[in-house]
Amino acid sequence: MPPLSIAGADEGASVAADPVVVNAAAVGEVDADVRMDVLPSASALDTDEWDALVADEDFFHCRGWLASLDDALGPAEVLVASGRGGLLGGCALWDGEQTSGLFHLPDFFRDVPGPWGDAFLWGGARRSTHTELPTVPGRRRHAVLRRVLAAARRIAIEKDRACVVIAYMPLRRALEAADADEHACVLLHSAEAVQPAPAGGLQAMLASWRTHDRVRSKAELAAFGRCGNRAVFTPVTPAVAESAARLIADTRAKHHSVQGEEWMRRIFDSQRRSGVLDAAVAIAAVRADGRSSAVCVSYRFGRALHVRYFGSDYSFLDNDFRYFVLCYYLPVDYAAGRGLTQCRLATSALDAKARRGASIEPLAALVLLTDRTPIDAEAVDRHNRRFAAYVHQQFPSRVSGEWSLVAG
Amino acid sequence: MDSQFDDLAGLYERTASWPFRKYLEIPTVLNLLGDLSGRRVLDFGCGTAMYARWMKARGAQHVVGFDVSEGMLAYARRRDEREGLGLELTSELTSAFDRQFDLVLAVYVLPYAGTRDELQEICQDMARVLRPGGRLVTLPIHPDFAPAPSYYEPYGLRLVSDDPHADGGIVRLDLCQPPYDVQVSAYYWSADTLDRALRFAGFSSVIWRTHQVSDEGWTEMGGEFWRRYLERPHAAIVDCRRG
Repeated sequence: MPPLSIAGADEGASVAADPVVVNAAAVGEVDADVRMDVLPSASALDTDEWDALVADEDFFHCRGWLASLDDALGPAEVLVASGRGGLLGGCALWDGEQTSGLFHLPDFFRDVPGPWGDAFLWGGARRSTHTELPTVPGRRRHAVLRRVLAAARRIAIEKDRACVVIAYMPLRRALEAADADEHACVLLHSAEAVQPAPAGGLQAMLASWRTHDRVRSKAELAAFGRCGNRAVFTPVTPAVAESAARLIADTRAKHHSVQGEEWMRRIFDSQRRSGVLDAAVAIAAVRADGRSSAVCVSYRFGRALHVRYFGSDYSFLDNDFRYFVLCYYLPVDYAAGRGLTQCRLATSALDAKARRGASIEPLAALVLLTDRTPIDAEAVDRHNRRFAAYVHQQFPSRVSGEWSLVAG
Repeated sequence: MDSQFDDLAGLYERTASWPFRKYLEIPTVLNLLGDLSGRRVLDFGCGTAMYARWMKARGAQHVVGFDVSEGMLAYARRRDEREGLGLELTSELTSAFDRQFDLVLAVYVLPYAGTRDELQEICQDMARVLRPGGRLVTLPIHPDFAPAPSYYEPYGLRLVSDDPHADGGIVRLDLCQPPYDVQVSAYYWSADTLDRALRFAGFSSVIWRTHQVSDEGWTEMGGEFWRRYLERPHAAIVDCRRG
């Protein structure tokens, strides 16, 4: 089965991609309605115009996030579609990863014949586990999607890549994009947890649950307090970022990541320079002596709160449910208090999140082979049904309605 | 609902820097609105909500931006998130808004009513959300706009119509300030038709105002630039009171 992460802490690390040189003039094109260009980095994007095309759920495609990655890891190109009135759509580009993990296609589709071991052109923000194609709404949307995908394929050919892949797309969005390109196929490969934030916040959420689940969650919240934790909500000031970087590095070290404290400090510094850190909130567990035992860093975008980083000091006993309190229960309260409607909880620890009420939504890869060789439709269908059945089996009462788009 | 403006947010925002808007329309409208302290205001057909932002910055207590274009509203929402002004932005003017506002501003809204019924419906929507005695300031196509399409080219516009002053006739609006070249479809309504629609909707006074060029505008663009426009403005400014 493809790598569906169902345990472990959130990982949000990034790895610098090799810089890619594209001759924009060679791939650029102009026609009466839509012009395609490749920008050398996100810094060339108009913030408001680009972000207006980015869905609330697609935060990691916003200009501030892309610019922070450029700042920390070096520039990455952005494909943009423009009309006579301004920006119409586009997609960030990167190279994926050559090692096994969340961004390594050979791990995804072992039951579908394809050139998965070759080099691909990836669409989306680097190491994002939720990607959509920023596109203008309304009557031009379909045509713009078609042009963006066609241009991405041409860039892939130019770079001698076997295909374009846009992974971690919400299934409905992947199918919409595939409808705009007859050679594209959609392959399920992951899932993400989403918790609606009711207007009444955490109490309203708990009240809507079955008694057993409510009692368990209240016990977890009580344990958090009983262990001497106090929750503090704060903007990510330089001092908070310093503390958070240390805690996040501790958690990553526990999960064998080599990206340490200095790495996270650099990431936060870049986010501050790009401005995206202004949208962040840190929820910290603070002990009586003022020390932070754990922190969760999330980002507001539109009406969604994106939970991104968790860090913990494991010198404190880890029996206080701090992960769930900081990354799950309290973000719901924070979101509801600010008129946000959903908490996006990413792709990790799905089992634990589903048991605490999260909806499990399907994520798929949109694949466009550069030579237009069709991928075996039967194998694709078989793969998708098998994947959907697996998820239904894992989370029988928590799967979202979108799974029915392939479950049949 | 799809709108011909969904893909024009960036352009619309940038028109604020075009001379005829920057030095004439915008200062005229804002001067006319006066002190907004404590006012509840609706920007009807707000587009990217540029006027909504300015009205909030000028002290309005609560500003709602309404538009049917999701593309325009998406821009407005992102910008408001970034600037933290706290606008309320909506694509539906529900009955919850009835009699809630002291002022409605509707810039370039009436030209997009395609029939007399639509024109009446829009005027009534503007009236129903105003408290009694509330004020509407709206900018239709000027009833006496110059029929030669090239007349407004120095201002970044062309108004193209087969029958320029026919009630309900289609007017193609070209936004042609380089590098832009975009066409949108609008409709001409005569002064008499507009006046009747507004009064029927419940506005007891309907006053046609004149444009004022800012001092900076005279300096930057020169007298000849403005003389031609002021002789035959492409847009009118109508100042109404709900009875």
